[in-house]
Amino acid sequence: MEAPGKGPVTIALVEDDDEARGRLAASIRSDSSLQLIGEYRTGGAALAGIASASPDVFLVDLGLPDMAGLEVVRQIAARHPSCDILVVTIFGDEKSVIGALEAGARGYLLKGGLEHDIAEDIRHLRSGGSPLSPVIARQVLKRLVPARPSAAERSQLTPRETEILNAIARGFSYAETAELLHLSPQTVHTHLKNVYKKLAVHSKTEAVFEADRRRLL
Amino acid sequence: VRALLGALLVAIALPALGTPEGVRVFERVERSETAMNSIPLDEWIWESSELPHNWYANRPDPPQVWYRLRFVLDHAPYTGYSLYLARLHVLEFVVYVNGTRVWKLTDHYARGAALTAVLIAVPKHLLHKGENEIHLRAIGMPHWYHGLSRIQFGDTKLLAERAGMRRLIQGEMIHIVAGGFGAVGLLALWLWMRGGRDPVLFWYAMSGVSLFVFSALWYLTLWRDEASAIRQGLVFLRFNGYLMPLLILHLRLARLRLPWLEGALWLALGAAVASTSIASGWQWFAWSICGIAFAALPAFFVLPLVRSRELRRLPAVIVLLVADIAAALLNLHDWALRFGYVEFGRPYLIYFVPPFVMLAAAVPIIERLMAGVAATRRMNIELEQRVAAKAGELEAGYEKLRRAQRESALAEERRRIMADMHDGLGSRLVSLLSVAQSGRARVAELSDGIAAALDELRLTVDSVQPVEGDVGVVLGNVRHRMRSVFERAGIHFLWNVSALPRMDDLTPERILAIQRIFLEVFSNALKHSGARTVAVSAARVPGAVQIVIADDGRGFDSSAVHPGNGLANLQLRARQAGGTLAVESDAGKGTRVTVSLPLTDGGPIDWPESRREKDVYPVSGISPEASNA
Repeated sequence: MEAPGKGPVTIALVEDDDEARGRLAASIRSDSSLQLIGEYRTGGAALAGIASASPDVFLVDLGLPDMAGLEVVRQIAARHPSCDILVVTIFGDEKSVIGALEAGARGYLLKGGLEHDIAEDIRHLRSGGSPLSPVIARQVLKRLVPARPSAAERSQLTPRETEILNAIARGFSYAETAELLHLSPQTVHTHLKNVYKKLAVHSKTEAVFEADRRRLL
Repeated sequence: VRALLGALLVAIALPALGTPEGVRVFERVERSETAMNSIPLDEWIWESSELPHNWYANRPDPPQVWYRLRFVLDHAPYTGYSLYLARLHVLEFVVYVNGTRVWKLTDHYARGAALTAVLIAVPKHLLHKGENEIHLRAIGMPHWYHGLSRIQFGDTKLLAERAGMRRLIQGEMIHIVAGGFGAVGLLALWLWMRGGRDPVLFWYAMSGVSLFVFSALWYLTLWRDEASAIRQGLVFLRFNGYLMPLLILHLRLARLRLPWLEGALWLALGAAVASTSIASGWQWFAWSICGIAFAALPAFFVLPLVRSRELRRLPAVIVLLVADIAAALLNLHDWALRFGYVEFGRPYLIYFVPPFVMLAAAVPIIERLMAGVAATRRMNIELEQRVAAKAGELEAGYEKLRRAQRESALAEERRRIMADMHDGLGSRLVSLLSVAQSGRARVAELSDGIAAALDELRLTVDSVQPVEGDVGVVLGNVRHRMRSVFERAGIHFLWNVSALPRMDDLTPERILAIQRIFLEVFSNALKHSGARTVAVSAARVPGAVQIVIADDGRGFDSSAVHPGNGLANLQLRARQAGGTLAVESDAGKGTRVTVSLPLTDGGPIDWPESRREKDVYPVSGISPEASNA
């Protein structure tokens, strides 16, 4: 997270649809605090270009022609841990968002009608975390917290993180959640970032567990 | 078994062992059969007789034999001297050394010592250098065989060792062995009582216990006083009690179940024991029964051989064969000993039959046990396999059912979404198209229409998102969708959604209806009411979840409003959501919409968190700045 006034936020994006890419680029360019340093049409081009560009924020469309958007997310998250990866989706539905978060994304943007939304959302996300929809918060809880806590199956979340996710799942905004739990909004964002990391780790351990179960390892 | 065999060999070989130095063995003795009760004079008729000497007490008057030993000592004794008789089978026995009585034994049988060694200390002062004389007076029972083994005379220490060894083999070892079998028998009895009621176990227990009965008396050192009839019966049982079980074992091994014969055998044993108990004159009866039983043994042995050609039973048959041969040989030996055909000094060997018999009896039991264990294991494996197969079948059945259910649910869902898209999105797009085609459409109108169509589409997508029966998530999601719209309009929320009970019947169809109610109420508040604040609360009330949406806008006079399209539409949505809806409004006092969703079975919502009480968040403290963030 950049402190304000430290120069513009550098952004790269990958989107196969020319028109949509143009709109995204125009929206970003229209905002003086954002600087677009790379536009790519394919996942391969993005991976090659990002290696030298190293942007602060990377926008990924999930439906790419040459490779799965999630795979692009996974590779960039592994190579550039400091880069905030945001997934661009039309619906922000549970399946694509959770998948992206598990692959290492930090949030998602809804493809809306009005372009200025995008720049605003990017600034918003940059200044602290991504708005999590209640459905996503509920699913994250379900994934990381066992239904019946037992000694063998401990929650992977701290009580505080669970409280925050519970509040968000019931529709409270970040600010309200912070107020309810007597925390600063900044602390809530920090907790949520930790939750994202745990989600990514959880998906990896699950994959290992699954592989072990199937005797692949 | 090896130890027992070793002991047996020692017992057989012992009489043949060489005589140690310092011990004189008398192989000849002078004998005089007279009823006289003082030492007969030298002039009396003395016959030379070989030792060991057997005699039959065939006279009615006190049957008595006097023996005379003469020997020369080179020097006056300077150490302890003793007389040692490996075996003495008489009723009474008196010893005189140079005319002085030194030892008197009465009622030898009663002491249970008739078969064990006798060691008689000779006082030093009665012996002298030169010729010495010892007289022995032996009194027997009428019509019984009696006898005297070779007499050994010499160093007390050496002879005491021999006597001790002999006592151990003939007297004590059998009690120790019997004690062991008694314990095993009790164990078998306990097993028999505990489960199975296996007849083989029962008679094994009976054999072990009967073997132990007599030894128990020895253990308790009781019953030393008289030759009671019961004691005679017990003695008989001790020697022959195993015989009938052995015969029955043969039958069972031959897979013959002959209750009448088994009964007869038990009866014969009982009769034999009883006869020895009634009177000593019936001894012949008891021993005859045993004789017949032993004679029958080979016949019984042939039975299992003939009948069971199965290899599986071979170990049991072989062990039985060994036991039979051992029993026959040892019995033959003792029979010969009893009737004077072998050297009198030899020990009785019949005691050593029971171990063989018990072993032979144990083999089929162990075999049966092993077979049982193997059968159980086999059955377990079979059962597991069957259970696994059944579980697989069930699983496959369930899987089929699940798939069918899933397919039917999917088809239903597809149908609903299509109908929904047709009615909602489709009709909206059609009207947009006609507006666009008319050529006089304004851009704002078109973009509003398209945005509404996109909202409609998102609504449909949202309705199939997993909410796990939580209405709170549905409400939160609608708020989330409209976040930027509300922010731009400068309206802030008072959001008070507490932990709600889980509604398992919250279908996508109902979710969609709830979402539509919210969208409509929210857009009314946005577009028409001029409200600054919208308060949403959702809480559990008895039997329902109640959602209240209130704004501080203009409101309207609900009594004056004729049932218009908007209100009717909301009522329809509420019915689709499976609940009821009420609108209260007064001009200038805002609008309040209450939706009640009845609970079919209300448990608390299954929050994956232990600190559930924290879930009820207050909202009063929320500042407008915070809620606008």
